[in-house]
Amino acid sequence: MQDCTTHQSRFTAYLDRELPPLERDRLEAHLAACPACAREWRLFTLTLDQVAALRHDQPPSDLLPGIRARLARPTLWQRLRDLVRHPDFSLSLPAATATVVAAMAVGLFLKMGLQPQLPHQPAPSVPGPVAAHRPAPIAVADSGLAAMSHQDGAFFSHARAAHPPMAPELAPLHPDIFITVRATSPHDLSLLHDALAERQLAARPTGPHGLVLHLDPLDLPLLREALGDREAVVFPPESVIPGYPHPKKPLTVAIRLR
Amino acid sequence: MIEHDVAGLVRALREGNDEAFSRLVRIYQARIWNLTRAYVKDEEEAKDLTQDIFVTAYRSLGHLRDDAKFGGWLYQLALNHCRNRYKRLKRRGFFSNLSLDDPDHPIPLSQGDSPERQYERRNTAEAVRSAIAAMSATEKEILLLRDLQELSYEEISAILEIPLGTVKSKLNRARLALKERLRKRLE
Repeated sequence: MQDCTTHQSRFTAYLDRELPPLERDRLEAHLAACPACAREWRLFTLTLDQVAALRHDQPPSDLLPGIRARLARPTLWQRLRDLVRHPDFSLSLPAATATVVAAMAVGLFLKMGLQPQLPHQPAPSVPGPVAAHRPAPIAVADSGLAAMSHQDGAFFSHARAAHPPMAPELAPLHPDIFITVRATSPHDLSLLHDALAERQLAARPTGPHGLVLHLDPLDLPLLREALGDREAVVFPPESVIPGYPHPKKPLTVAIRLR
Repeated sequence: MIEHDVAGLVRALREGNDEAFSRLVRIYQARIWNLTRAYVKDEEEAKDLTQDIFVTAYRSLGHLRDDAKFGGWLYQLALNHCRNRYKRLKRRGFFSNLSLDDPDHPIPLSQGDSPERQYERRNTAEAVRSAIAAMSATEKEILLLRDLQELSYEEISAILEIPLGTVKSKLNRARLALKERLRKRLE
């Protein structure tokens, strides 16, 4: 005598008419005699009907145009290759200069053992286009260690606060990847933010021209997708090439529009 | 659909006929869309995923050895994309409202008591998608390929690279598991 579980394990074969005649007759006799299995058989076929009903779901009408648009964009690899072949110094030089100047300022502070400038007192060597909107002063760290931070679209130095814990928006950033994107319209930042959000990449603004996000190195292709066909300079360039061995995760990526 | 039509389109695409690609997309878009929609449940994710799959297919067509096997190859590509996207979404808690990969705890399905049939149908479809999305990867894929895509056991065996007998036994288990997840709604 076979139990109910054994009979139910043959539902698919029965449906496909693949059961040998003897087994088929046994199952049919059992279904006629066992109300519990009869109910399970009914639920089984109803389940298949529910799945089959999903076949009628029509795809969005803009699927093909979307695919065409994606194919029309050069891949990030192609863009990087083009940038290497035809470097665009007009875009990257200001960013590089600002970074070098900021680094020199930090080095000078460390060498002289001076307390670094607080955020509301911009470092003299680093221009701060929106300095007026900078946050309230942070308690000076007893360690005196300086860290680079990206606030309001400009890099400047400030103290690493130990007590109390620094507010998240004031926490020092150490970007692993810098991306400078050429801005073509005033809405570029929000469009880029939305493109990242669509791919589940949570970016937060660091001012009117900057975004910062933390992501797993595996998600770099998503970031590349979000950048789309925007003209961009990446530093270090090899960091976005698939397979590049990133030493840590998540990565911090600073994006700046210029 | 006649397979040699697809093979002809793939050959035309290889020869640089871009219209052939549009026709291939039109042939397969509903099936790939239904697959991704049921796999990740979310409509926007499914749309993005479907587009990704076709873009990848276009760019990696050189890896397809036999033009007549485009369909199976596309399904393999699609399932790889679905698995990766699903893992990434799950890691981010995208499905946190579902009891993912936990067959011992069926998803609590809301009782659709709306008088409007359309609403009820949509609600049921969402419940079915939720239940499918929460299944284990192998069960989900076999079930979708058979009951949603209506592929033969031989095709499923080739796509998933598992023996025919395993396809059949796992399909029965998957159907029974889905039945349990939908029990409250169906009874």
